[in-house]
Amino acid sequence: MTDWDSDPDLMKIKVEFIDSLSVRLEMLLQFISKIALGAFDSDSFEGVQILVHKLAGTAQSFGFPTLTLISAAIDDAMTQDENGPAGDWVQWLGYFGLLEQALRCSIQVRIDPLHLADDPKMKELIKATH
Amino acid sequence: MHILLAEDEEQIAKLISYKLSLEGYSVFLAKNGQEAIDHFGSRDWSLLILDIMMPIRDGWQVLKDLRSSQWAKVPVLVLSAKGNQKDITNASELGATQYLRKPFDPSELAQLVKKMVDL
Repeated sequence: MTDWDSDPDLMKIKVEFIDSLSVRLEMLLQFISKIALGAFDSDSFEGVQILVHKLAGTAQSFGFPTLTLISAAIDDAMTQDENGPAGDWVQWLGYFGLLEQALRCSIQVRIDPLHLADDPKMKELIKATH
Repeated sequence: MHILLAEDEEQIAKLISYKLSLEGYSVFLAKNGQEAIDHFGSRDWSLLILDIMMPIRDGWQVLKDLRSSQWAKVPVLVLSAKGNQKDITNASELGATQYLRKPFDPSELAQLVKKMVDL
């Protein structure tokens, strides 16, 4: 296990990661706006999937396992959905909304949003991908 | 010992570089697949740590290029958030030495690198 607190240089890298979440949140909000405007096309779909895929592969390494859990589940749901951007946009809004909540919480409180692992939307997401 | 790290995620790249520098390794960062390919011959690499989803040229293309080059014997540790069997098989068939699923614990990664490089 990595002990972040005992190494200031390591902690600095973790802080940089947490700070980078604001940029990722901005990108996610842009995708959410596109869905709301009916402009969610295949490029947007691919863009948001790259965003969640990268987050899934990164967050836990910095002590944010729930952020990885949510991102990985959305990544799986997007991979499995044959309709892509033409699919159920209400569903995508729900999933992205959950990730938005997780990102906001991680940015503000600067610890893993563990409580969201039990969110009903998370359970729905897990069910949809298994 | 020199390690070539191909990783486009800035913070993960910093994390890996820092942990490996503590173990005494010299890490050179390539921010995309093409940069990694361009640096195959720039040093005597002890290991290539290779992310798969990267811009310009992805990790699979880098691995194919490496294995058909004069530096084919450099061991490769593939890092990927895609942990399905198809990707693991693909990595093996293309000549990856080890496969580590993201997200990983940084200390575990450092241990694995030590094992691979000290063989």
